[in-house]
Amino acid sequence: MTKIYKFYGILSFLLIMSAFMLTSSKAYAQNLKISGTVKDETGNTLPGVSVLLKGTNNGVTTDANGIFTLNAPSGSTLTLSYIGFQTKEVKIVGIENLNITLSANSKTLNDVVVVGYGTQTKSTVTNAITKVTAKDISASPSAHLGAGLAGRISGVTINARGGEPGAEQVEVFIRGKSTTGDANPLYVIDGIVRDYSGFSYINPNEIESISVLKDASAAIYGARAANGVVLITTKRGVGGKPVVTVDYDHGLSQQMRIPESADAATFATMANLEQRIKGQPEPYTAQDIELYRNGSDPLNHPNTNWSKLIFKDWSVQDRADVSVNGGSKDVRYFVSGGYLSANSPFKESYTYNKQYSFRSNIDFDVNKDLKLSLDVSGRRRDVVTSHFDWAHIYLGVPTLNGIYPNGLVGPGRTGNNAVLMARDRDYGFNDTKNNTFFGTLSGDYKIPGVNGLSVQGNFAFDSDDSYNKNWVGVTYYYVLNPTTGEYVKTQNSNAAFPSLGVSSPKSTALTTNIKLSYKRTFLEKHTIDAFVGYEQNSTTGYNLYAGRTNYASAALEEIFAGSSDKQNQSNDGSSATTGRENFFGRAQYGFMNRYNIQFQFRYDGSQNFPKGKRYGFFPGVSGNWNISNEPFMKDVSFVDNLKLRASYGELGNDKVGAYQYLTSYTYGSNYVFNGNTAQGLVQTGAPNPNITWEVAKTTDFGLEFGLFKGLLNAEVDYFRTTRSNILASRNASVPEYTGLVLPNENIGQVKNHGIEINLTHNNRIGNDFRYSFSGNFTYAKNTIVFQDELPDLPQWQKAEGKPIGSPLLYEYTGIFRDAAQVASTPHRDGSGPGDLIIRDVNNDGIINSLDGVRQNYGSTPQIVYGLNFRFNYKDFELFLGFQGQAKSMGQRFNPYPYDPIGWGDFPTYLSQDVWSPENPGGTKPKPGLSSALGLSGTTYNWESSAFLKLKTAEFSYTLPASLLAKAGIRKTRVYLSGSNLFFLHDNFKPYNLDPELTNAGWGYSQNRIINIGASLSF
Amino acid sequence: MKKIFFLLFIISTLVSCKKDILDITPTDRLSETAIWTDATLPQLFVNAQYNTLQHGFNNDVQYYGDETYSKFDDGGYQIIGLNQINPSNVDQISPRFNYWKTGYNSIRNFNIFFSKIDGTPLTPENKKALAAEVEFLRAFVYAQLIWNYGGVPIVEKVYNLNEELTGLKRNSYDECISYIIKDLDDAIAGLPDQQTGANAGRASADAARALKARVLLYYASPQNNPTNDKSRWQQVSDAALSLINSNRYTLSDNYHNLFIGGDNKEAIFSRYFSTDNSQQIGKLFAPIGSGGNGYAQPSQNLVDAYEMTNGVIPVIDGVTNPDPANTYNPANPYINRDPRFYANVLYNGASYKGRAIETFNGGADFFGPDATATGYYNYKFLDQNQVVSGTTPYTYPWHFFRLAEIYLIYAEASYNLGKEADAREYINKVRQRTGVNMPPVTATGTALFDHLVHERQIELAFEGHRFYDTRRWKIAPQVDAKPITGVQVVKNGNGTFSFNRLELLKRVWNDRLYLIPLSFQQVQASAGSLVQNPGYN
Repeated sequence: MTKIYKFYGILSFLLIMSAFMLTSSKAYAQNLKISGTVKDETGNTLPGVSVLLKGTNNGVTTDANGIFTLNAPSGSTLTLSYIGFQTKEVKIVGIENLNITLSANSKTLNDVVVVGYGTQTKSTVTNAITKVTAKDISASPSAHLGAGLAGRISGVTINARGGEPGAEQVEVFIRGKSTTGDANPLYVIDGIVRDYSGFSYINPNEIESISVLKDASAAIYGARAANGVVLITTKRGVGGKPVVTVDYDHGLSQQMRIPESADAATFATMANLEQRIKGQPEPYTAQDIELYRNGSDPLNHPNTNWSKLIFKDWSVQDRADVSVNGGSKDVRYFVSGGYLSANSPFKESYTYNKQYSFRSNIDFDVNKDLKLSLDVSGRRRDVVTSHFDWAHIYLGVPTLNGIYPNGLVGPGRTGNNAVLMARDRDYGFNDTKNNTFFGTLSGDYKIPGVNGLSVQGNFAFDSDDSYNKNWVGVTYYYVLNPTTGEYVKTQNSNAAFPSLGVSSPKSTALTTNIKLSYKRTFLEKHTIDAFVGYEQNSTTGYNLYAGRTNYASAALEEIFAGSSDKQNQSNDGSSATTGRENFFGRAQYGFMNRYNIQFQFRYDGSQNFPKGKRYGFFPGVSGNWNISNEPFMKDVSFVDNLKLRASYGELGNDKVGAYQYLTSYTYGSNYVFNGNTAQGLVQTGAPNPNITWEVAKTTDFGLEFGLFKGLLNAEVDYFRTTRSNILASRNASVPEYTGLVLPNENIGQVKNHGIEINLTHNNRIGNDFRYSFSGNFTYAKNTIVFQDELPDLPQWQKAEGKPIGSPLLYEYTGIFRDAAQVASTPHRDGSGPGDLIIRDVNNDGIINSLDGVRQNYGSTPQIVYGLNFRFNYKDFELFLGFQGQAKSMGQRFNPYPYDPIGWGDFPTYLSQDVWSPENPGGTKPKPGLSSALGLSGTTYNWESSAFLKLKTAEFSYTLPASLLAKAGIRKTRVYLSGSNLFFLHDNFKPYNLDPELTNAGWGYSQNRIINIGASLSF
Repeated sequence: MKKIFFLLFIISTLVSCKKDILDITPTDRLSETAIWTDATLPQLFVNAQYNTLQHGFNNDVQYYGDETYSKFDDGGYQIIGLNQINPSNVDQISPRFNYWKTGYNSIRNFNIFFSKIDGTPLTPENKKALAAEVEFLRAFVYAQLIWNYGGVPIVEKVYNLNEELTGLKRNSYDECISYIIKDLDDAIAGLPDQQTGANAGRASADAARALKARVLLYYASPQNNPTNDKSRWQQVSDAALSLINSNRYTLSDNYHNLFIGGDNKEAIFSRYFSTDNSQQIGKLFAPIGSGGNGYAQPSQNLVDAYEMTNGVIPVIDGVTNPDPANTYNPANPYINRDPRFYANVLYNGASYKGRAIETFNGGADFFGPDATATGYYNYKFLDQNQVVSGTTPYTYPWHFFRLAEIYLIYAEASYNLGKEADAREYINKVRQRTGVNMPPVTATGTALFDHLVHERQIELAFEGHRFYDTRRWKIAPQVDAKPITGVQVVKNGNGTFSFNRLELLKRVWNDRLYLIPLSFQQVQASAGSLVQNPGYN
């Protein structure tokens, strides 16, 4: 039934919208012939500027020389718009030859800001909302939108935790974290919630602007908005003659840092030391070590640098985009297509990452009252990755042959040769073909008869499907027989026969909303801008899986080619559905744009919760005082803008697994009887019938000012948010003898407060040199007010009072010199000379769990800042963007025991001044630390992850328009850009680790990209 | 106005179609009612519970004790050997030993089962049979808990949120024994003696009898029976005899095949595997020269214990046995040994997959960081006719209980009841089985007991007994203080080999190691009601 209703609803919506289309438009008086020339601030003529007679659909665009002519009645107004420039209105008085200058879009007072379910001008905004424009986005050559924005948006903490092409892991937190649960913001693309994956892979060239809702302004998104909202708006047609823009980028990329491991001689020395300490024979002779060092016997004494063997110095990344922007009287369009290709980071490898995308945003002015838009966009991602295992690089023993001097692949570690993993597709690969489609039909109808009343509606259909292949084939390596000198081809024991798994997950989402808006100014003083709306959303997901083993041959990597024996076949499938619905609204009243007050709400329902706990009311209230618009400020000429604002809102967070209120069971945990698998059934966990959303109460005070015509613009915010009912499980305090698999409960409480400062300075020296500087600084300190913890925990261990995610660690104070010192010092059970000395925090003479200390910082930085410089000299521009963070910690060594004999290689750092019987004063622990006495879990393994780096740089040259005009080219810009160029400061250099990684280098670091590109418009 | 009307119509249409959009019947799970009102699904719930039983192919049970060595400290056993284990790090060790969380999750499931089974539409017979299966599983879980921790809390309710969760106390070992034995007696009454055909591998009365024998054996042993209450030994004897006298089992005549899927007339209760639910032992234990990972490497301690074919133990505490009958040749140490040595151990020169094992310095099985540290590879559980690879589905079953263990349990009970002739008879049945044929034991008194200890070490090697045996006999202060040793095999210029003994793990014994500590967190979480094991505070 529901389906039919839905279909009927959509159908009626479409029918009525089309009925409106049939209404005819009026004819206009045409009495004067107007002509003019449009230039930018530096005097260059601007071709392609849209010139529209205000209130009509009559318009033209400027020609190659920036000249336009049109007929218009006297006293009418022309609206001039052009991408990257402020829209300007010019009143016609008599026949004129107009000279019009458009200013670039940097002065933002009358800038349009996208807010939830609408737009506002910058000066009427009552909330803390940061806007990022296309120009800011395009400077970075990073393929991942989020990774490119780090350090650019005040109040937003962005950390790239992994840089694998096509699988970047970018963390985005607005004002840090305010919950121990899921702290990810909500992502909305063109008015529709499209969440993280939609955001991750969107083509940066399609984006017009990004707005970040940081305070109560997010309340319009209700139960999902507590972590803030990122609104992405794509480019739209501005009308006029088609402008074709072609962008091409060619970049070289490399991992910014690859953790370094000891070379063969160092490894052998340390392996000997480990054995000597344990009283066991040393595996390497002095002669061996010398041969490893001097490299004169590469066959028997290799010095294998596994990462050098595996990774290219540079891999290639290409991007190409074409877009067309234009329109006629009634239709405006922006269409674009993009291509991204990043090739393998591995030497001689087969892996790749390709992405194809398109977008078509079309606006139809059906008549003067009805506007319809159809946005469709699609993306194809084609990613092939290997079954690469980092362990075999960083633990990779350097005294083994990865590749023999004659070029044959060696066995590596028990057949797990990292060279095969990276280069031979038969070692195993994942091939993902992912298609994403976003489609939105929207209408905006001005209701005739009631001035200012309109109705808007959106219908969005999103679909995502993937085809994932996971193939494992048979690989071979060679083993040198030392007696015969023969290289024996040996099958790798990774797999005995080929096997294939294919999964095909699909999901669709339908979002429908409709809203009734009223916007009008009375008596030129009182402005009212209000709406109410209704939205519903449903998603469905399906997955099918098939697997085959025992392929007779690797010739065809397809399911049908697999074994026909049912024993070697497997299949699986599943589906899931979600639903949401809500009402929302906003009303803003403004008095002469001096005072604005706004109220907004959302009444939201989430299926994650049981009946009676589903619906919540999320209000937000805010206001501003534009002091600079007061009459008494008229004479204060150095103040361009001065504004105070304040907001308060209540928001929710429902990002937890659904149905936790039910006692439910699922198939699984099969068991075998008599050689046949019997199905099992397991309870999914204890139910929590009271589960509901987290509640955030957030307050914000902001001050904005602009002085001396751009010499100083500032925005300062103080914010405070308390999050209660945080969804977490009581794993710490509930004894395991209850056997409970705990659901989320609304038990946590966190407060977060801080300040954000954003300063910009624009200036011009002479006519040719302009520069701007902007700095943003965010301090967001979260403190856990309540979290489930063990009862009677000593004060120094409580998470309460500490930031989210601060680890509990033993505090290392030194290295035991000798047995006497061990005997006289509290130590962990079994410690000996060369082990870590741990601080006996409670002075009870025993080192046990009570001596762990909750640290002051976690991996999410409390301070993030960015410094951005832009210099323009004539047609040259240099942009430098620095990203920094402070007050955070990261792990510096890999998670495996530090044990050359058992586990393998280690960072060279650990061998420098290592403790040994001969060097009892050594500052590094002995090799061969047992799992109970290892580095992990101690402060020895942690380091401040503060850093400052040159995140983005771009040097560009725009060819003079006069030169190009004759060739029909409007604009040509060539540039050299870079991403993640170098650190100015950080503590992870000794281990060559990227401080932003949270896995101690166990994975791809961010990429350093050097890029050359050109952008051409004609 | 008309248009406004239309708009209102649209809105109302949209609103009406939202009806119940949030009321979704999940398609990725089943409701509680669906399970317990169904005639088939309760059986599936019980099927899943079998996974709580810890088989020995998880590459960890072999390490605990002095039988094997792994330089990776797999399963965390080294921290026990080095006396580094404590309540703060006990979570690092294998869940077979640190079984608390796994065990109690299962116990909650058993309690769910018992609270629901009466309301199901199953026939009374089916209910009884299912309940008996669960009783057996519950007994096994509690047994594994008490063997590791001593007495543990007995939980008989289904805990839920919003109730008092703390304050439960540990029951005594005796109370746990009574509870386990009652479950086992009920299981014996409710289950067929043997499960056959499609049900092979399900709990059976014989499985319960075997478990009962082992539980009672541990209960009667010095660790848990300080006053040497003879009646406990009588119970052990009775439990073992009930199986022996059934004559449903006979000793296998191929000791090696028994563990790689050969005929299982000796097996009393086993875990089976299938191609889609397989184990990996064939890759994990295989020698690296054949593509294996060489995980469990037999120790020299164990190798030394394999008798010469004339019944003399060749090396004791690293020193050649001075017994004049000892034919041991340190330069050629692997000849004329107990056939079970060849069934369990790959030594330098052993034949495997058509080649000779090379653990000597520079040999094919010596090369690389994963190579054996002891000079040996495990051969028990390896089928050399199967490919060594990560994708080969090894499906031979793990035997939880087999007749030889029952014989040795009976022999031990008999010894303790003063029936030495019976003890010798059953030890000798084990050592003189077809294909082993070792000379009979004739000793008396404590020498007979030593033989019993030795026979269990050899016969049950790698099956997860040794760790508990040295503790229950209270010989751990001597045995578990000895280092784990290996041998460095050096190939000499003339093609002969030298064997240099190595100490690989210098173990430290402390009486607290009789039991595994409760984790610090669990003691804290109980709000003080759980008492930590001795020596760990």
